[in-house]
Amino acid sequence: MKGSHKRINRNHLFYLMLLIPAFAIVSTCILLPLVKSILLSFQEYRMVGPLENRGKWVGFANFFSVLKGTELPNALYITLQFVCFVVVLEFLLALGTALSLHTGLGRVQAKRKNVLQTLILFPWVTPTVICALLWAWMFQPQYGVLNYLLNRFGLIHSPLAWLVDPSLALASVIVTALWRDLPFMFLMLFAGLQTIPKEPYEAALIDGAGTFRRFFSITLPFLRNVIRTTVLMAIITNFKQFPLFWTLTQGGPMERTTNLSVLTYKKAFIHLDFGMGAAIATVWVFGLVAFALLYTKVFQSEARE
Amino acid sequence: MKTILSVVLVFATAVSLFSGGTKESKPAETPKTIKFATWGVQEKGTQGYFEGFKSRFEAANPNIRIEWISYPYTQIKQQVLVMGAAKQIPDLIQAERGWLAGMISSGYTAPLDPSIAPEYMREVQPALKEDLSMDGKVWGAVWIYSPFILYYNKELFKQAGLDPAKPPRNYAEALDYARKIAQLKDKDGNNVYGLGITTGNVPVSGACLLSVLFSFGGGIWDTAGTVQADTDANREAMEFLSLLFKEKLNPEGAKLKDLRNLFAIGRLGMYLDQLWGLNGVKAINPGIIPSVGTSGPLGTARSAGKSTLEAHLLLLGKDSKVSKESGKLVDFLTGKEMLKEYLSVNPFLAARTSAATALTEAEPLLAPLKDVAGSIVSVKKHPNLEAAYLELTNAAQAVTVGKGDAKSTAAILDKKLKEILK
Repeated sequence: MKGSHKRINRNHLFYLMLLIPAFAIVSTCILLPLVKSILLSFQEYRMVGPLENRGKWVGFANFFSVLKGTELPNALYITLQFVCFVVVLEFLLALGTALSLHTGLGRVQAKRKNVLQTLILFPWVTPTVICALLWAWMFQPQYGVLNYLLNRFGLIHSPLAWLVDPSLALASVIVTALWRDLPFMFLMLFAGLQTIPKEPYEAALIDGAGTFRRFFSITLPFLRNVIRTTVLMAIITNFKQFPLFWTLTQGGPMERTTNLSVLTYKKAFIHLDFGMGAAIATVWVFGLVAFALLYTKVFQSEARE
Repeated sequence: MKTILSVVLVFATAVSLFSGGTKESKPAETPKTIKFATWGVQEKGTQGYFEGFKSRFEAANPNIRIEWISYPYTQIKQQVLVMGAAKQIPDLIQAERGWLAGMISSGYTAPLDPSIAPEYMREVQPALKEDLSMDGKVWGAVWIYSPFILYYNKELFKQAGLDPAKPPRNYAEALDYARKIAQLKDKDGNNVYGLGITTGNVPVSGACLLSVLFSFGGGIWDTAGTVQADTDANREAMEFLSLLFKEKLNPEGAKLKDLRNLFAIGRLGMYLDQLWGLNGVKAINPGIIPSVGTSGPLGTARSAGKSTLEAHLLLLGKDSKVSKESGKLVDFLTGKEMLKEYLSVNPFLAARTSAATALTEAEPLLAPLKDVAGSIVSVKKHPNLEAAYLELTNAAQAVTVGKGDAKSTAAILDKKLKEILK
């Protein structure tokens, strides 16, 4: 008994030692910068200006300043709009594509299926900045291919300023984000569909269930866990989206595409006010973490029911 | 006992490894190194020139070396500020004019004086010296400078029935010319824009817009130095921008690189740019250069053309141990010989009077601009000037793509600038 107790302790020690390198890397690369950033949010830290003021502890002054102004609510509104549109459209399009490919699987040869899957994945494997640059050229009002094609087919008569018109800029970024992120969600949902057993469908068919009934009563419940995870990942990824926004519009025109990430970057690296930038980052990072916890809890309690 | 003896012996052996040696002879004089922060050595167009002047300077000064601290243009300001915060400020810094106030207020730059760069200080043009002065001290040297000038396409002028030897002198004439040019189509049937004024979301576009405000008699500070942007003159300038947009004479929300692109492919008749912007045009279409003409900043009926000073500066790092050597490099780089070589890379104007005359004679594009230094308006040195420039671009976009009115836009701009520039 004593011997087995000793063996258990030695095993635990061994497991802990195996975890130390990973913990060290995570601490250095994630925890330390996070703690530093939070501490910075309580300081006045401008890269330009008198040196004696730099690093002065100002308590919650940065937070009050950020919450009092209109920039944070505006950025939050832009971010929520972007996330809602991208996630909902991404989910619907990915599910539709996955269902089409899944139901058509029997008629599609394995080789063609692989080719199709590779082609579908192409946008996702392209680096985000490259995607943004490609679309920036396509959206170019004077010589972009999009305006050329639309004009050619008579859909527009004068070039549209996709990234410069305040009413079109956010929609243009949304389109780019959809093109970029759709393949991943498609892949996850498609993989999820492949794991659903055939028997419930056969039983439902015998019972006379129609297509929609089978979809809502069998397909969606079986896909529940996959949907939960992929939607949460999509929400988080798009909430903190920066390269697309910055490469396409730099937050303009007139701050119509300044989301929370862009606002944080602008404050820290354009206005060179690290304290204010850290305060904005702290506010929305903790908000996002709280949302993720709540989201997971809601899904878990529904699963228990 | 044996263990203790072993330890003592090992220790003694280790110490003896570091304690030997003969009496050292006096070392040869080591060259002094100037740490020069610059973006020029990273850019394809200027790399050859930078490496060239480094070799020549080091050959002429065997006891001085130049060490590059090189970053891309978009990163260098932040990197220099971080180095300053770490008390490792470079000895010499290539900087944009808009960065000067931030560098001074942070205490990272040392003033220039005649003992450090005597040739530069003796010959620098008064307007340029004044623009870089604060509290009676001169805070940097102008390496190359340019106001926002008018580039125009002489071929398009001819096609539009305009005299290529007579560019517009003011915005009213420019509007008239632009309307005629906008009737043209390029060889592929695309429309041609008449007059390009940048309104993109970058600080340099804001500097261009401030130059436009100056020419209309406006600006962002009143004569007492208080922020005042809600003025009749500024509203008039915004209405002009709005008119250009409504008549599709100005490409929407274009950055300078977009305007250079359009100008290079013959789809833009005239546009405002810094002189060295021609480098960008040349990179896209070198064949257009013979058709290019220049003219000074446009004015209005009320005022002669005015502009902010756009310049690449040479700033001395604070507490540098090689400030005299850096001053020598400043004199070398701003001299007639080196600037004539630099002219082969891109056009610009020279700060020193001897170089200014030589350059104007060497480059035909500079001939119409020989008196343009008088158009420069000294802008107040404020650490948040670049943020103010970005607000100007927001205002320009509000009255163009935002379809807003000049009155409310000027009021909003005034409020925002008062907050940023307090």
